[in-house]
Amino acid sequence: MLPPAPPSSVFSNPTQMGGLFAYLDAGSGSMIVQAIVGGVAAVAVAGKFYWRRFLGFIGVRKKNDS
Amino acid sequence: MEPRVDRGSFRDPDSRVFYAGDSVHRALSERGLADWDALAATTLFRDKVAEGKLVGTEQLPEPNGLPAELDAERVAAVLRHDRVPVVSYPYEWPFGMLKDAALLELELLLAALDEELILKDASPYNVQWRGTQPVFVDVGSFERLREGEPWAGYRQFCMLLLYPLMLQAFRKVPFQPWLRGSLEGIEPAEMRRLLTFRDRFRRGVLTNVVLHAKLEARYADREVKQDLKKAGFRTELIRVNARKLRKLVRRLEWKPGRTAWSTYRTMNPYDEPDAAAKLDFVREAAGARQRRLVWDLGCNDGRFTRVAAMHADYTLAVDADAAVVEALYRELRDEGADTILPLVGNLADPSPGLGWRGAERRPLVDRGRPDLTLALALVHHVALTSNVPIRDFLDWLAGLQTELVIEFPTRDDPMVQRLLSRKGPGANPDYDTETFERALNERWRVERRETLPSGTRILYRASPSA
Repeated sequence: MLPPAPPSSVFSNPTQMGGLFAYLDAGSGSMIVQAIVGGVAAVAVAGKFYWRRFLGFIGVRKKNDS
Repeated sequence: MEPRVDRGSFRDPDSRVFYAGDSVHRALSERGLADWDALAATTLFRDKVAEGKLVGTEQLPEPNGLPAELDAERVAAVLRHDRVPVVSYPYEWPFGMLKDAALLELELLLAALDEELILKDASPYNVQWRGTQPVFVDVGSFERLREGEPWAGYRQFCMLLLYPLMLQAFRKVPFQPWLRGSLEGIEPAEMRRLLTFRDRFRRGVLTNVVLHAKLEARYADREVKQDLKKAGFRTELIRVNARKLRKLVRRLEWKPGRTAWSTYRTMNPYDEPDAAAKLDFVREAAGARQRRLVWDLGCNDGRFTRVAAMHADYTLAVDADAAVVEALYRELRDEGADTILPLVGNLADPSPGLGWRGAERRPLVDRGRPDLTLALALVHHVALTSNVPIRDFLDWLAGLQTELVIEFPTRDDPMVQRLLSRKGPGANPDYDTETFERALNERWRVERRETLPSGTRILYRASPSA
């Protein structure tokens, strides 16, 4: 099971959007798939991605915390 | 003629295609120019152009001669591209062509990553053809790699290449009507619903379709790029994914069943003596002089296309049956044919203008008018199956201002009888030799007429009368 998705306001920060450079909407879901299907190398990335989301969800990490 | 912007080139503001006379140009922004400089310096660029996989491109000394629609102040440089003979679209390609286009995109993506570049999109419209050789024409699609970001083109690759191929390979549903109906392709959620439970266990489906659809729904309005970057996303993941996609696409196969047309020749033995006479007739008509562009409408196995193509710079082989076009494509590709382009198309329902203002994708007639058209064993299907009035059909052909080789099967012809017998007595009264010949003579100068050995088929060679 995937961890629950936190409300978008928790994470999105328009000033940090790399999407400013792209004319094509890469799609958030489509980007995450790429972090999951990349074999062994992807496990750490996907794990860390979801761990950070989880921390954000339970309030340990603030939205601009990097 | 005034330079004009390509109506299908507006999505990427850093790179706009325009036409000046017979040349295809590309106007680049400052950022587009920096990306081009990075590409032009690579061996990838030199090698892929030499292999014919990337369109030949040079930078013009000055960004002059811009169309009025472009803001000259924002144009930093202009490129000039080699032309492809005739533009075609994915909804006109058989399975094998879409598959080869997908493999070319992945090949270029992987090569780009090695040069610290990436493709910013994955549109099959970026691939065109020189005969059966796919050529990537959107040089503006290459941009400098930004470490830590996923591939922006992955979603488009799925929607316009991977899913349509899967749909045909797994479900035997033709992708052409779908791609023609939706220029963006098939959404991940739609694709998931189109596949069966059994399909979910096929290679690549669980991740590229099921998981993709689920994550897309879950993260619809959420920005994740920065989070992925911080989690350590790196270019190696794009490379691994591209290799997996390549393996996946290579394994997708479509085995067309027997269609009415793929068995047409073997089921019509009476056709054989006629075919020999027809070959002679076409050989003579085509050999009269070198043509620039020939259309063979209703090309079937391409037997007559090949004869016409010997005396033409370029030939389109069009048939409504994707199975025969697929077979022809595979044959021609194996031969390395570069002057015959096989396309799926139905005369009674031809490719329309599509997209923004109905002009992003153009009708076939706007992409290259023929100077010789073959319409062999065709008119009875147009007139009797699709009920297009004979005069209307000839009007349309006359509008092309093309020389013509046309075959008319009379009402006594076994195939005509078969088509008429399904409709009842007295159907299609305008379908008779006299009406046809009168209508033909009103619009054309008939130069040769020959009745084939069967006695039920007549060939005409005609020139525009004007």
